[in-house]
Amino acid sequence: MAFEYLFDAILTVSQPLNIMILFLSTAAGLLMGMLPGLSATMAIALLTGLTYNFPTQSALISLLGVYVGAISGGCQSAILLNIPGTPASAATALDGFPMARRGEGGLAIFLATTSSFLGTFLSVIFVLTLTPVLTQFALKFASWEFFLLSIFGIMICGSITARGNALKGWISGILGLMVAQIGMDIVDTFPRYSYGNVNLMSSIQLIPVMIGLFGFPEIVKSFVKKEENRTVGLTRFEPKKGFRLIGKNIVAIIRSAAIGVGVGIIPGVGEDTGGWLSYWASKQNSKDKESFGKGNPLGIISAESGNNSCIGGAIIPVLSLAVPGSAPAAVLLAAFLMHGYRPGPLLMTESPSFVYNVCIYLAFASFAMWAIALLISHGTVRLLALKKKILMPIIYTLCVIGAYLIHYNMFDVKVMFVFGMVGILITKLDIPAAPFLLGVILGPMADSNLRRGLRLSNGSMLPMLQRPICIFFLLVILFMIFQQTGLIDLIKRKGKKDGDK
Amino acid sequence: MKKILTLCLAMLVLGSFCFATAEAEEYPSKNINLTVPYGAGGTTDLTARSITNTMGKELGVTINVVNTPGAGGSAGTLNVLNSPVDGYTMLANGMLCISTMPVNGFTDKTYKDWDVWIATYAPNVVVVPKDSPFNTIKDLINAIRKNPGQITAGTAGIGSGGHFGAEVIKAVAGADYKHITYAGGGPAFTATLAGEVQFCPQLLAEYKDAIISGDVKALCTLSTEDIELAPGVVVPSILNSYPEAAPLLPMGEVTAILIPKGLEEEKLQKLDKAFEVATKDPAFIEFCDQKSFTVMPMGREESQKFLDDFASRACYILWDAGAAKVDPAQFGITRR
Amino acid sequence: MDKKTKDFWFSCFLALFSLFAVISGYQIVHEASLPPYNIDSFVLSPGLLPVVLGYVLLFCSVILWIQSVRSELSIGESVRNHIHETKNWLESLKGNENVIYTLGGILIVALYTFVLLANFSFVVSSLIFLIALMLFLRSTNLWKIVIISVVTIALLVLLFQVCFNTVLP
Repeated sequence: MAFEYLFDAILTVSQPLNIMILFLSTAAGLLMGMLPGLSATMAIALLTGLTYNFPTQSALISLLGVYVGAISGGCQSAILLNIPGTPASAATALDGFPMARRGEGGLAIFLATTSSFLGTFLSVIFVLTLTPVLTQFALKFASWEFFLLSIFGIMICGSITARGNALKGWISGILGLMVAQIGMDIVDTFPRYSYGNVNLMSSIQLIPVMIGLFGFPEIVKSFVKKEENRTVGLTRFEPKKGFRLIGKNIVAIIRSAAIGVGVGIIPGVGEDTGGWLSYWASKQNSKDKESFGKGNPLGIISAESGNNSCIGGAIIPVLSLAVPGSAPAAVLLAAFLMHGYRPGPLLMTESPSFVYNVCIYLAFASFAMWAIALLISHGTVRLLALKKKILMPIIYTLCVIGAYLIHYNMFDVKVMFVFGMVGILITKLDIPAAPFLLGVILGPMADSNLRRGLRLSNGSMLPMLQRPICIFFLLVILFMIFQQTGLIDLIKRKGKKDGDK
Repeated sequence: MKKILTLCLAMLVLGSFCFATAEAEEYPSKNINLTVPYGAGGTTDLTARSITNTMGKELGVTINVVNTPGAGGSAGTLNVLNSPVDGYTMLANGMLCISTMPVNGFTDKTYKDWDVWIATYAPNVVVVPKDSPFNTIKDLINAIRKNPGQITAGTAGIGSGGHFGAEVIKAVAGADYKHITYAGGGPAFTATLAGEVQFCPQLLAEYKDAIISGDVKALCTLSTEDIELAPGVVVPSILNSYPEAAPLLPMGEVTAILIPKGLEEEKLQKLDKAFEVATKDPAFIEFCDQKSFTVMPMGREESQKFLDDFASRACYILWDAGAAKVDPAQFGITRR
Repeated sequence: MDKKTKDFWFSCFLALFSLFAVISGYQIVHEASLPPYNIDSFVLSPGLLPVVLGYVLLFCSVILWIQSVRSELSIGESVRNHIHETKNWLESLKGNENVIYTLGGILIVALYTFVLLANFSFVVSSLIFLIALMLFLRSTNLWKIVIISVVTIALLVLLFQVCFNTVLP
């Protein structure tokens, strides 16, 4: 039965028209992902309107193509310009940009694209085999688990930053959390820090903050009299070396994919977080922690396979519960519904072929993405050679469009500028910007789930200690605090001394 | 240095005078933006998307749906109110939000300041997790009466369809529930599935499939009649058990297309016609059927009459619950 | 500027900011206890996180401050040292042409964001912005700048308005 459906799906997708649609929409997704400020969510939303009158299968193909393309496309601008194209690829910039500056931009893009492909592909396998089990996992997450997950994410802030001062990472993360407090709070609809302004009430959008923090400092760097001459030797792709690196780190890729799928499944946490978590996990497991943030290929590989595998993860609850696992998946769910599908508990009885169609289309989309991304990256690496004084003003107009299009509102553009100033300030003060962004991503989750949990338990923290997943998170968080404040090193050293005696 | 700076500033000023002159053409001459003040995939969003598709075809342009979630639907609504009334910016919203915005202190514009085309009605339904001890609405109401303020209700937030549903339950029980709010209908649904809350009075459309498959139990609907979801799956009306709820019913979300008042009558009539055609479109009717929305198309005048009654009910439910900031009487909304 | 000096100033500002967070947090707690919210309990109040985060930030800023002065002999001396170093740094900025370029560039970006876009259509204001900024930075000669700007804007309009079917500001 299942094989029949799979075979049918492959037949559908390999019709010439559908192949064309697949490639076109994946390319469109890549393009939108690459442009700073146009996120995957927006890409799918724009396309939902355009594909409304397509035949159903073709529409599905194009929507999934755009999804995969947009999540993967962000890495190119992250690597080449240090401006992540989407929040999902912010973690890629940490190691990608240093590599590009070293003159290995081509290799970095090759690695990012290939691991994106592998991440998506592995996640499809998860969807095909483990959907029922993983759905149960998603339902295990209630308010307390969400709260601890977000605290865990914020603790990561201390260790994802390059030059080791955990304190500054935490400060930056907490500042991000403070920014996330602005606006109508989810639990009581109390307007915080809004001063009667409706735009502030609807809270600060993630994308303007991201462009401001990452893009603005890069743009302003070009505002100098004489550009420092760093014509980096243009970047061969070195696929051989690339494949060797991928092969060597296959364990990391599988681990990142598993983390990504897990993050994707949990409703409301998606690609934006997945990359960070898998980056952190790889750094933890690496013997050479120091080299992360200075252009370690493993950083790129794990971040990209992590965020792309969220795609499959986020689709699992869409299919089985009609609950989206991430923001782009929410738009995707709307599109599915518009095309007459009813994802959810009845899906397997009503249209059993649908799951297989989605999986096959995703797998094909990831192939298409890989091919197109490598093809266009031959063009995009030339960005490195362009004069920054010409490129950066153009990038800024793009950023303006991106910020504006989120809600068709000029306010977001102004927010972008303000956070640009913040971004310049904190980079000048050696405060890492990445935790700030993570704080803004996780802030609403931490706040609303903590207070929801407290309300459910009448203000008692006790339920946290009665739930298995919570205890796991608590232990991990404690471990991280000890590790980052250097307590563990202290104990180890002591242990050694005692042993010597 | 200075010269260049002056040159730049001069350019800025000069360029400021280059206006692109707008040409007067027959309406509509360009694409229309339709704001949905909630995230994609919700009841309002889906209704808006399916109706505007046909409306756009009828008008000969594309209607772009723009999702601007935030501040419980108020942010996007106020954006539309503040943009020029040229017929190229429309809103799709639930009437609960529109009619209670003034009493929540967001604006002093009431539903009377909008031209409204009502499209669909979606009733509330009270669901409980499948392993819940409550099997009928009577079980639930009795439990609330016994433990006032202890039974948890999960909704999509204050002022959401679910909140109104919960307030109806509260009025029937005569005792309070414990309000647990989520970031939207989706999270509230997951919380019910996982059993984090004891009951959930959100809109039927969000739960339909889960009710049919038995993942949640439906106790009653807040519509005036029983609803058959699938052969053999019938959700009884709350009136069967508690006829005294009648003055508060039917409760549910009514979705409409809106434009702030002030557009020329000629353009409005074009929209009237497009709306009428769209609500008769078989694809739209099939879509509503699938989601268990009742299609109840109303023109502009009819909608205002409907809203006189509906807004009064919604505003006074909030006011009586102590959740409103401003007395509805201030806006000329009287108790019915 | 020396790293420690940066930390020193940052921790000072951070302390001020965290005080603001704590105070405003308590204000939120107070406002939320009034009708129509009526949330009396502190742990359930929307002000909970701002207050907690404010205290944590205050704690962090104190540690950072201590770190930034610890290495010197006495606190007073090291503070004076930091101030002295900042003065030197400000002096060094005065003659620096790059600073003028950076500030001028930011000014043009700000004008574009807050003034031009608020009053004119995207196409007009972006054209002015691109030409003005590139002229200011002396990116290349005038004709090339004009051509690059016009082509860029045309491409953007084509891409967004025609291909993606969106409405530009």
